[in-house]
Amino acid sequence: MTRYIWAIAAAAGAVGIAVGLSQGHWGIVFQWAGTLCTSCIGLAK
Amino acid sequence: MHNTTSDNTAGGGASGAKRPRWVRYRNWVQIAALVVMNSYFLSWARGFCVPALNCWACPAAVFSCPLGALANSSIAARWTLGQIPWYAVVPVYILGTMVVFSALFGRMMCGWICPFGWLQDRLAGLRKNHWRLPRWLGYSRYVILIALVFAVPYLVSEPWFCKLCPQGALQGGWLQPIVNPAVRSGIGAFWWLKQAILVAFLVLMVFIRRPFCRTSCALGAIFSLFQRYSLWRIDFDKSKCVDCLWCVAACPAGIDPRREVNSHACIGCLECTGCPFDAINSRPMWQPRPRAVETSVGHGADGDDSAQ
Repeated sequence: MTRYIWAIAAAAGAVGIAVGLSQGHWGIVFQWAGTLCTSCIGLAK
Repeated sequence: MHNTTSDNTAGGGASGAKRPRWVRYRNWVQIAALVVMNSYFLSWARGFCVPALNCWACPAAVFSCPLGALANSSIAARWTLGQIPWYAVVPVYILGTMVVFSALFGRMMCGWICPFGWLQDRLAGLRKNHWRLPRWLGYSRYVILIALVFAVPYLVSEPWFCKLCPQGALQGGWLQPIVNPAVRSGIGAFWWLKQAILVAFLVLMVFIRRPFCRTSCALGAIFSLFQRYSLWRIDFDKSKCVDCLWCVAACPAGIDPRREVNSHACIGCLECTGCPFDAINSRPMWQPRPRAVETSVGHGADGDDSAQ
């Protein structure tokens, strides 16, 4: 059975991607990525 | 920490006699991945999470950092929970992407395309002998994942992994002030703290193989989840091993491949498959395991019940 865990996990991940895309997560992530991340750079707020 | 024995490779770039030809190009694959992830003109792709630590604060970055996205999801969950159903705040898109990569390749992304991993490999090549790390430190990555990516951002609404991430200090902390003058006015004590963390890791990278990957990388912790069950496997044939320690010297992650291939610490670089005695091989799961192979191990059996 453990031989197929990768396939089950990959399928579950693909379903997660599909559900996320249908809920507009791609656009949300795109928005976050387009905003300058001051935390990443280390800037004071 | 103590010194390794006969560690005479350059950043794990050992030249194995029978290593698959394509494994020899790992350094070039890493460089190509660095270029693609920071190719600037593909910036429309920023909605996709890249399965590697590549800071999205880099002016040329074209993909999203999954850890930054997850930390932001944790912050968003705090403010949206109660207004929308609980299952709607789960970042299924980001987690799903990481699970797919992990299920197919385990931690091979760490060994093959992560820019920060490439940097660590190159700096490790400056020394012949490296210090070893206690094995228990490998579990700190999981604590960092839960605390700094999920719990603390949820509680304080700040992405604390990003705030401390040395990759961000390198890619965003240096390049943004150079190309964006408006950013320079914000440089203060916190910027210097991040740079201090970066410098500390850069120094450690010379003395310890992959110190960030082994102790602090929360993304590696996510990929580790399916490392043992991923599609791409490494097999260790105990009957062929003569304990020459060639694989120990070749491993850029500083682990003992005789005991830890496919374990959560293995980065899937396949350098050890150059074993001169043919004791270590890699295969996709659909290929049958060679008859003599005991199994790949990592703190015990790997759980693969596909024995011939």
